[in-house]
Amino acid sequence: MPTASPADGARRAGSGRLVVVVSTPVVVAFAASVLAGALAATTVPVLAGTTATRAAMDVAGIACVGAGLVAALVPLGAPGRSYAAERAAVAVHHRIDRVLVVAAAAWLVAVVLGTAFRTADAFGRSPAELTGAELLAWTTRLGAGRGMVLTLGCAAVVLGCALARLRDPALVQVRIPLVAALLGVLTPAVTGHAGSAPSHEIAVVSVALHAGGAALWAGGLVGLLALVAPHRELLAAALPPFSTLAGVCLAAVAASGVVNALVRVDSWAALVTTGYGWLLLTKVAALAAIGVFGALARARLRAGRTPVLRWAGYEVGLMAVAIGLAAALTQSG
Amino acid sequence: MKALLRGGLLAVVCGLLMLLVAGPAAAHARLESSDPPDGASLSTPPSTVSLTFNEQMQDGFATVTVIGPDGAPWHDGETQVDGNTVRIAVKPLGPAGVYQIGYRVISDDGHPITGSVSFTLTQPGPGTTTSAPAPTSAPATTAVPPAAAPPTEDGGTPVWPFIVAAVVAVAIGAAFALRSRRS
Repeated sequence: MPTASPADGARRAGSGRLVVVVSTPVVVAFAASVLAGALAATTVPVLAGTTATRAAMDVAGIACVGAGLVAALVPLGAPGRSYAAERAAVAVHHRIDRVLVVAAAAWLVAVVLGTAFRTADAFGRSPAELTGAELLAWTTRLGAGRGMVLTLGCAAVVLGCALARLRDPALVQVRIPLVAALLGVLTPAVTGHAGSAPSHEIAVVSVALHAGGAALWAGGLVGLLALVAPHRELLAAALPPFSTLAGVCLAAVAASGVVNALVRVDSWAALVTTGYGWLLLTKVAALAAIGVFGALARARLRAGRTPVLRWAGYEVGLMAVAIGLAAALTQSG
Repeated sequence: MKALLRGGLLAVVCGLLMLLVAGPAAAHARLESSDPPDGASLSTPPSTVSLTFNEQMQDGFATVTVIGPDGAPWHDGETQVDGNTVRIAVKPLGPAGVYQIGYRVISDDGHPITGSVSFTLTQPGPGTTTSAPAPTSAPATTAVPPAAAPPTEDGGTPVWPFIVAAVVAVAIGAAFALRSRRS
């Protein structure tokens, strides 16, 4: 593959940043869970396991969604594209398939480990003592367990599609792993807290919008930064539609987040008196800041000024924090 | 863009369909009532205690304990699950005082829910426990939720070696797929 050495250097720096972005949610999720008092019913190692695997699941799933979305935003054979850009697009697609393999494999691993930790949590014992019968009971008899099995299936479909595409991209349309990844990201959200009894249908729909919107937005942004940013022409073509999509996602995430909070939190006082409330307020602040950074990036994009990427980078950092907080919320009491 | 939106819409629709399959009860379990009720004063000791929740309970996931004013366990046998209700038999109660009914159940969303309710026995009963009583002047007011569910299987083998094997297999497979393509 003919790539210039400056691009290689940039890629190495970029992968370092990517490691930070990927690990941030895991760390934030665990710290926030401890602060929110989730240790009441759980031991430290098991809590570390449940929150870290949940955050890892979210990160890997969002990476799959993002990679699929980038492939859709940078289609092969787009009309009016220069020869160099088309070659770059082919390279981007090849990297997307490799990213999909890694992310889907990590997703599978995170789901398996997460299932083990959450079963251990449910039975109140250490994961080392779990038996197959207990794992089977948890995964088949509880909604959360069935959700994990569905996510496992979705991750397996993404992995299978990515492996097939590595062999020959024409075998599987990239849309299929994208849809499978979105479905897999939605599943743990809708089988999780998803609403206390009375308005549970609303909560389920809005939590699905929340998770789906956040995954498309964060995954797409990271994917564009990591995979497309070095190729100016491709980026210029992909950013306007993504920017529109991001605006829609911001609206969906904010609106559904408010609905979820209204369903979950009993009173205004609970916002400051419960750990859950504090996590929620932090997420609102993060969303507002992400929106501001996104708007700044978009304004710069409109004006044709270049440091769009730096603002988008800040935005990604905040998103990583928000995703970690979300994972903590899912595991909190 | 249009294809993208269609894909997203499809995913949402599939998610909603999946929900119908997965069943509607995806919420935290909450204690609705108990027998004896929380804070009740009884002159005759109950032979069983039961707790009713807002959702279907799962057999094998629920534990109930009854801890007497002497700090000794007074529950007897296995926790029984019947619909939304979990119950456990109680030995003939002994000393008068506050008994804590601790519970640990699993919500449909997989989270353990713990808590306790209490009742007061006003007349000492005939029962005694084998453990030495540790008399305290103040009744235990802190919740004593059971720490763990009882082991469900006697001959269950640990499952972690299989999990480790699966993880290693996925990692090796992915690495192999990437490596073989690079050359």
